[in-house]
Amino acid sequence: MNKNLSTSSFDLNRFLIKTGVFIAVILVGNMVVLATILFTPKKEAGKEPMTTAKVCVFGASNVGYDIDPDRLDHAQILSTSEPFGFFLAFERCLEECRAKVLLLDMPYSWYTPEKYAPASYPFYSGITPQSYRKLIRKKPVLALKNFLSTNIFNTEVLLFWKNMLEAKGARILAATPAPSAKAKVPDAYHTCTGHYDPKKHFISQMTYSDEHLRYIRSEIMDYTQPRQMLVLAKYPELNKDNYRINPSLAQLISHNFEMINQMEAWPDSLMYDQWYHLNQCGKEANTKNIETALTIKGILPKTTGQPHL
Amino acid sequence: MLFNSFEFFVFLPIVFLTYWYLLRRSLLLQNMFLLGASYFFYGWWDWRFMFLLILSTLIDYGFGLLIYHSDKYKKLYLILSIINNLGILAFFKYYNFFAENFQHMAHSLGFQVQPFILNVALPVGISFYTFHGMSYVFDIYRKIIKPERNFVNYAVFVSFFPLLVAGPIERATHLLPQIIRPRRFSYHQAREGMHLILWGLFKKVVISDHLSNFVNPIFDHYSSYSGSNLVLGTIYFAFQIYCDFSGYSDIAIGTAKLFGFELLTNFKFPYFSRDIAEFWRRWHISLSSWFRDYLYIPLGGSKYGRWLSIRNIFIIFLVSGFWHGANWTFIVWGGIHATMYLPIFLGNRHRKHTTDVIAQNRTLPALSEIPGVIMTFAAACFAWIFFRSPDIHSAIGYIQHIFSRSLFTLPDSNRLGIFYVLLVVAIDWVNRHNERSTIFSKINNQWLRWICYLLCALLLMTLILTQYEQKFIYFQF
Repeated sequence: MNKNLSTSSFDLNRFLIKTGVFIAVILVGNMVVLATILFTPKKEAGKEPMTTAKVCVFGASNVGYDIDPDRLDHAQILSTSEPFGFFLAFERCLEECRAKVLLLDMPYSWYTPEKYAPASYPFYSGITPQSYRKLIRKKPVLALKNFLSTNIFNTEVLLFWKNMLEAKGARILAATPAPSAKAKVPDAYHTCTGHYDPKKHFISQMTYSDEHLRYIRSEIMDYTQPRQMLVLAKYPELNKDNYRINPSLAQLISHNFEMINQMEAWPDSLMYDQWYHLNQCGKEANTKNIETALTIKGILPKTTGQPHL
Repeated sequence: MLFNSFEFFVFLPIVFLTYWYLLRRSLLLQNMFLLGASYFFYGWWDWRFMFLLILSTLIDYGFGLLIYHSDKYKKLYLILSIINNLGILAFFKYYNFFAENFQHMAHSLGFQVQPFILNVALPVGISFYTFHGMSYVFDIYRKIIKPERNFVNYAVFVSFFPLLVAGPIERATHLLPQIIRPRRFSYHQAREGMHLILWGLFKKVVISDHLSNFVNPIFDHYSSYSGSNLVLGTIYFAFQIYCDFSGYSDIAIGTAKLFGFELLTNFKFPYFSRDIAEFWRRWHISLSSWFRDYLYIPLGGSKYGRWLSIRNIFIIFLVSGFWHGANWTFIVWGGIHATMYLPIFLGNRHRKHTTDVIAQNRTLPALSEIPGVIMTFAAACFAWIFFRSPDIHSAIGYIQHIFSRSLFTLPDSNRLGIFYVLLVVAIDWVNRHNERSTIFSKINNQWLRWICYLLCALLLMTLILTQYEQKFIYFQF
């Protein structure tokens, strides 16, 4: 038995040493990759903070696609680009917001830290040693997940490096360019005769639940209350098929936020390439709707625009 | 707790180190710790259902002792034990199915009834741990084993965390002796375990989860797709479910190896089968052998004439289908397999391929083997349509859409999935002679093997941590 135990002990130590070396190689590799990201000087691209803004509209890619910033005076449009993750992007965006009103333009989904993909391109493009330290203090599990997933196989890391090498500028968190500014947008986007096929674009699950919305609300309040900001919200721009899957969504959202609009489905003719992106006509209508609603609230000065829906 | 979750990769090293470093001198403490860890693993999902697991374990433990010590009432105790196990299953898994079907039947006869519908979640792993308990009681009744007096040992047999939620369905004759005798750490066993965990995760996270991205929209909106796309969707689902479930089994077997246990093999490259009988010797082996030993043989097997044999074959396939879920689609899936198995059985060809594999001792298959493999795979895919569809109506609609003019066009989307399918086929082909080891064991050069480990681990870490956790398909069963 003793002999067995000593053989077993030798085997165990051998196994642990080899496993330990393996893990150490991975961790050192991750540290090197993360260090290159943290210490790479971030280039600034996007709008300068608007000191005259009366409202900051915060959302994901929906604000880039569905709002025309040139037509919405006195509003600063802030986008996380993707719905992945909430609090980090939110913090980054609010650093740029000087207004006293925050309009939360709800995308189809926003993820909590537990579901948040910690290694997204917007994250890498904005993170600095200081903000990473802050992340470790505030969300240690998220920071650990981020660290473990930051390796050479991560497409987001590769994208970050690619953009850095091509000197494209990385800071895309604020003011995502509208699709009209992209060369690849087809004419159908502008003529509103797009190819959107609602059958193929279903949201398999909308991640807004009561618990999730309460989480988002508490995160927002953490940032907005010290700044004495008024928080308003707007329902997502979805078509009827995607609204139908979650009939209690309107109630859930309005229970947590002061809304500026009614929850109504958008017609397919105004949708673009996704279930939550509008084409040029939809974008104009949506911008008018926001402008009108904020004017009625007394936040923006009066204009002559008429709401679409 | 899912095997492909961040939590599991925190849980596993803690349990491993405590088990081998702190407790290896006491078997009792090791087993008690394994039991505690298994309950923690299960309770992480929903702690309330942990009590159901404990209750089920206690009842089967008690009936095991009663059956062994009683001559007069042993049959009665066996029946009570079966009623208890099937009762738990029927209540949580099948009650709503029967209630709804009763309502439909009554309605078609002109009666209006409103049966009570349960609004309770299906406890994870219920079909697996009740089958563990039943096999234990059956084996005591048949005097194959003696009851285990130490409750902790028995409870570990039922609840051992690697196999608790989705098998393999273990037998007391196989696992209990391993729990009772002292275990010593073996480097080679642990290394094999790590290989299996790595390969199982690769199949689940890289192959199955990616294929699910193609499969789900195709099955959810089949009417929007061409016939050729639907065929592709069916093939993708065949590999999705294979990689999902065999991946889970590999992780379970690998994890058990880390603790010094050997579990039953559950998959042996089923899509290389040359007929449907061989397919069932290679697919979910622990379940099919369970039904063979505890249902087919007690019913008489093939001993009592042709008609009774046919009846028995249909019974095990239909019950096997129903075991997967309370839906007519699973029953039809079982029925299709029974229908396909029957001609082989009647032609006495069902034991043709019991020990060999395709292209035994050769690199490529013989020409005579290829049609059998293709036809078996096609038949399995046809049955998978029913398995995957939400109801019979959708399954029939799906099949009708396949057989349209668009069947003869090239699939216009989702072609990337073919890469994943070919990758699995190629790796399984190389490894087909040894189902207990992985592709890593085939790499003789140590440096090359370590590079493969590293690349695989990095890829998995990225995918596990940056994608949403996707449940294993068999968790719902």
